[in-house]
Amino acid sequence: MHADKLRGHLELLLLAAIGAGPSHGYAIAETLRRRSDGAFDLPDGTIYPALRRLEQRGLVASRWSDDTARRRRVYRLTPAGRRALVAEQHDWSQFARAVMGVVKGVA
Amino acid sequence: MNTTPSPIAAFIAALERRLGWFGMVDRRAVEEAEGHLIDAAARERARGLEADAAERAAVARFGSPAALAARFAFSRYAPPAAVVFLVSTVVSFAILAGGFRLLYDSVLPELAGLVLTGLVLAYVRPGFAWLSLIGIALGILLSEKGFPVAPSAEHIAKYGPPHKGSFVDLLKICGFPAAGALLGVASRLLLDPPHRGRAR
Repeated sequence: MHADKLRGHLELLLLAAIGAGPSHGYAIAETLRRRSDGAFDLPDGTIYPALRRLEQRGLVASRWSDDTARRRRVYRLTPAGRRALVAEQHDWSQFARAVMGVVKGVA
Repeated sequence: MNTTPSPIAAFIAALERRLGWFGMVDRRAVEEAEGHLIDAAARERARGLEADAAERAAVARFGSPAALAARFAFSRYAPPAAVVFLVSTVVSFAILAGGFRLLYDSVLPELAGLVLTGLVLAYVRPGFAWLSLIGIALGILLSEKGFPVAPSAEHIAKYGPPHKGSFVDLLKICGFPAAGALLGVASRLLLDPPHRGRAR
């Protein structure tokens, strides 16, 4: 899938990827790739400015973790982030159902 | 002795340099990028690639350092909509009011200033280009109709009384910042396309 199609959706995807539990950037990128069966094949670097924006908006928090041989920045959802994820999931489900209804002609 | 930096080292150096172009020293971004690339290269090696090829594959997948630095910069500096609107109104008002006082004999600096204002604001926040144009138009309206500057007696003696601009004249003036905004959006798309390797 062309990366342009993900514009505007990346932050929701990131919230969803982090929603399963705290993750570092590489794991988040892998989660996006794995859950989309490789369809969301963004340049990996793209996620870091987006994560920074989510953090600035208070939806995600991060800290350095020294649990492994090399320290990593670990991201987790804040309570506001979790609420935003639930709301976005609901909106997105409605939107996707409506689009599919029109596209398939079975609305 | 081989002094060629590894693909990851070269990428990190390029990223630091590009961030520097925006006046940023972002150790966190650099360290995260480096860690990510090391993880990705390890994954590629586990799939059977040689070390150098694995790093090149990881770097290629990460995207361009220029685009990444631009995204970090715009995330950091991007002003909110209210600031864009306020700046566009105040700056355009000041350009016309100040230009009238100082350069009554030439409108070129004022028009150039309006083009530049539209261009810069649209480049910085292309998504708010329409908002900055409304702000500029408001600034023009305020300067020309709301709070017109009274020229000094010397100015009137030298250049005559100020011309009373019509509504059509105001629209014509607005064409200059609109042209600047078009240039700004086009420049932004050219220099930082939505997904060259990335950004928003």
